[in-house]
Amino acid sequence: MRRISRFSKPSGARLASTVRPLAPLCTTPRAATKPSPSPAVNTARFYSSRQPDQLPASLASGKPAVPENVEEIVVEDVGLQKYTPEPPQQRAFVPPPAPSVAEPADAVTDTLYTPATSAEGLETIGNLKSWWDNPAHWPKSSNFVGFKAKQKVQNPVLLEAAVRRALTETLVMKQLGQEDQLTGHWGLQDKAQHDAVLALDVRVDSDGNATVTGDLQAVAEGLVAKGDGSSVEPTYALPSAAEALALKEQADQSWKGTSLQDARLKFAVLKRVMQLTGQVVPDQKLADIATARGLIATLQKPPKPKTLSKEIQTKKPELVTLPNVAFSPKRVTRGHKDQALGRFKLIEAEFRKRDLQDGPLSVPKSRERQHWRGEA
Amino acid sequence: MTIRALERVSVGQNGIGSFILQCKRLDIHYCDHSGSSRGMNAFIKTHLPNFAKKNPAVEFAVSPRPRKHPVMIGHYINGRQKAICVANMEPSLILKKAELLRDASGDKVKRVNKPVTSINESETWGKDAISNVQSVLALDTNEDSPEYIVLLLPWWND
Amino acid sequence: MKRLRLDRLASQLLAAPISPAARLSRPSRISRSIPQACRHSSLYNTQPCQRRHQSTAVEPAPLEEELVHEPQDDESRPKPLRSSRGLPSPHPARAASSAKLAALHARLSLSSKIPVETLARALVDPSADAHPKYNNANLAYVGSTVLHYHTSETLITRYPRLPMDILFAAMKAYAGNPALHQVARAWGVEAAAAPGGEVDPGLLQFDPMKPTVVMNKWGYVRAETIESQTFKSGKGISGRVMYGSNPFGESSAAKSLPDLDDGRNSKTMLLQNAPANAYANFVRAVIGAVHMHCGRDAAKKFVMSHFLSRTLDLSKMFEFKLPTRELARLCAREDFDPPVARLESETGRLSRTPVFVVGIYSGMDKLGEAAGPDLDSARIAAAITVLKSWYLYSPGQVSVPSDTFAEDAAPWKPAYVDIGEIIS
Repeated sequence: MRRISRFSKPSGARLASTVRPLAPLCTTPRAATKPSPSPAVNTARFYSSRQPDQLPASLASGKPAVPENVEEIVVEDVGLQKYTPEPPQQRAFVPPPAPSVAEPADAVTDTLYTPATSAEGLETIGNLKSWWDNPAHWPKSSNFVGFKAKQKVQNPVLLEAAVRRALTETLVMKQLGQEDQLTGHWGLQDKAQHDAVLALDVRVDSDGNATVTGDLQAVAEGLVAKGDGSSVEPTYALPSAAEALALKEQADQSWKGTSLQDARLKFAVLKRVMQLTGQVVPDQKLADIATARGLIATLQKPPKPKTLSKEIQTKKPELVTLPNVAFSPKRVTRGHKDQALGRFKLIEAEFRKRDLQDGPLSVPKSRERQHWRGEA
Repeated sequence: MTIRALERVSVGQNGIGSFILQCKRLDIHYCDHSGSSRGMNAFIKTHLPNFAKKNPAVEFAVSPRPRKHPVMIGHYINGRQKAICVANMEPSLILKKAELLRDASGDKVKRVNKPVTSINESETWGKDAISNVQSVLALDTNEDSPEYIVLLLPWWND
Repeated sequence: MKRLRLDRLASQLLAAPISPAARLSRPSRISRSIPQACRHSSLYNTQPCQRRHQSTAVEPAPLEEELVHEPQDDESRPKPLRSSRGLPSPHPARAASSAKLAALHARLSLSSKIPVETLARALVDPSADAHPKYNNANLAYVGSTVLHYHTSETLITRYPRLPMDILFAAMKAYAGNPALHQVARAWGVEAAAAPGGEVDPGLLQFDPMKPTVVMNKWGYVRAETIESQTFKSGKGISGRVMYGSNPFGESSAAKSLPDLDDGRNSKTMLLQNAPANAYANFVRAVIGAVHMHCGRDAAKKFVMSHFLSRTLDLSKMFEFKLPTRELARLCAREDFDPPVARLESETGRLSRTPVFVVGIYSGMDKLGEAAGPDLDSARIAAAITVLKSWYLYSPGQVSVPSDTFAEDAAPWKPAYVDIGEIIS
């Protein structure tokens, strides 16, 4: 626990100082000093870039859910009856209503009551079988929003622009002395602010130490202010490829020599790049990145193709274009061979004749996947 | 109409007049992940483009076969197949195997212990040849020396 | 043999939009479930239009348009027979992406002038796709005429004394359905299980249960042939030469075209070996494609290397009814001394396996000899040997008429051709 608390809180949690750590999970369940909102099952997402006002009221209230001092926790027996589900509109899903249990037959005081001996004629009140099939119980709006950009940017020019922006912003924060903001959550900005960031002048000395000149205060305020999410969130992350290319040609390339030896600086830049481009630098490459140039090179290196067929399509197109080569990226099955021979339709026709197969022979890939997605 | 024709069909011999490569198709299977396919994957990347270009008469069907050893299957005009498992082989060795499959006729391996294989009728044992031999015999009988005949035709009696 | 208009081999036949299939066609296998639309297709045109097209000089259509059909003229296609399954044969645009087709093209060492689309079209039998623009009927017709022409000229100049019967049989042995079927198999052509739009274009496509086209005519059909059908003449060899419209001397054209509406007589309409016919039509279509795209000389070279290089023992094709009498007539006709059979030698006359060697002499010349288990069969065998050596006389490598097609060719020296069989 101590180790974790030494870092400042990750981005999604400006609320972080108030959020209870994961302690309740580790301790005995149903342990709380006072009626706590709910045990661990809730929708708080630490690494979400969602704004805090959309978080459940219980978490956003600023009231500590769990006291700081874990030793003080008193284990008490909390019965099921004390469980109070949260209001459904604050959840990622709408849970089914709590089951209501009828009184046992011998506890009924009504003298007219006679227990039924058969199910016939009794009222049916439904069940929960189709509850999760209803899309209204899985609102799209409550889907998880990650910190990382959804689309991974591969364009080298855009990557360079993103690195420059991240580096400039980090240097601004550092230069203004707001060191704690280096690990904070920076919002996405609108285009004007983005241009203002790139307009700042970055000077690098021979040791790789960079200094930024310009209206630093405005940039820093823009970054931090948007994190509060009081107004509509701007979503401008990156310029278009042509704009980025123009910017690259204008700019002095010396900024790439900025040293990234400072771990806090490197972390802040990488975090921002990840937010803007969706590119995550793997741990084993972190140590090799010494300057911004190295970071750009690491990001720009295209990912290794996952399969041989992809590799050949991209790197050896001459094999695919040969007229006598049939290159299949997927396994060629009996069905494919039958189809090429014209036999498939005969088999289907024979099946149909015997009422063995209704529809095509091919079976959807995974029924399980449909269940995972909540499709019927 | 004293002559009637007996129906026959002409016989083709590959290589006389025209040559048709007997290997008509080469299936090449690999796996993306397993280590036994490493050489095969390298072969597909480095050697296959050139090999396929040099052998346009062979249809190359390259497809993955996950979780299986890499294999090359040659399909031949006579309807037979020949398969070689190339697990853990070097790309250069796989190229040799591919050449072997391309050059094969597709026939079952059989022992050839005669220098010439011919569809023509034997001169020695043909119908006309018998009459020639007989006439030689006829000439020889005039000399009244049976030993001579035996000496002359030892191979004929064998 | 018959007159052939080489200059009109291609243009006339390919240009007529409906006629080639109509003229060639003899619907040979009828399924009872032919859709009504199919019956009105050009495949089923009957004979009256046949003669009109023979005399009509049709403006030759551009070759490319005829052979490589573009995808955009799809609206002119008739509705496919199996409408639910899309096209009856693969779309021509798919030909370029078929590895099988490219390999076949290379295996046959075809010129790059022949597009793979044409090769794909050659693989579509009329029974798979009845539309004449998308099947191989036209190409096969051109190919069959080219093939039959070169086969017949080669046989006649190489064996000028061959009897007509044997000549017909030899033609069939080189260029008939069974031989072409073997050639196609040796080229590594595979057949699809059933034709359809989804099938690989590199596979031969035919449907044994649908009507197809049989190449049983060559050149053009004489007016007399049609007349001869009425009078049932032309049974003898001279009749077959005169009226048999088949290059193999079979008077199949003499059979009246079966009436489609009359299904009673269906047995005569059954094609005996539908796969062999489809394979053979593909081979003919390839020859036709070579002729159309690469020219006459390339087609001749192709025929020579793939068909006339095959081995055929002509001496095994003879069956004599009266060899001794035929030999006597031959000697009389050629002013030789009458043939005399003499016993050259014998062995084991009283044994279980006697051998008599009989020689045939004409005056002082020995014409031939043969051995037999008794005197009479030895004499007959010797006469057969003599007759075969007469009929199978070959002047060696002599020029053929098609050698003079070249621009700088020497003038044609008439080849020696014998007057024919001794007893006809």
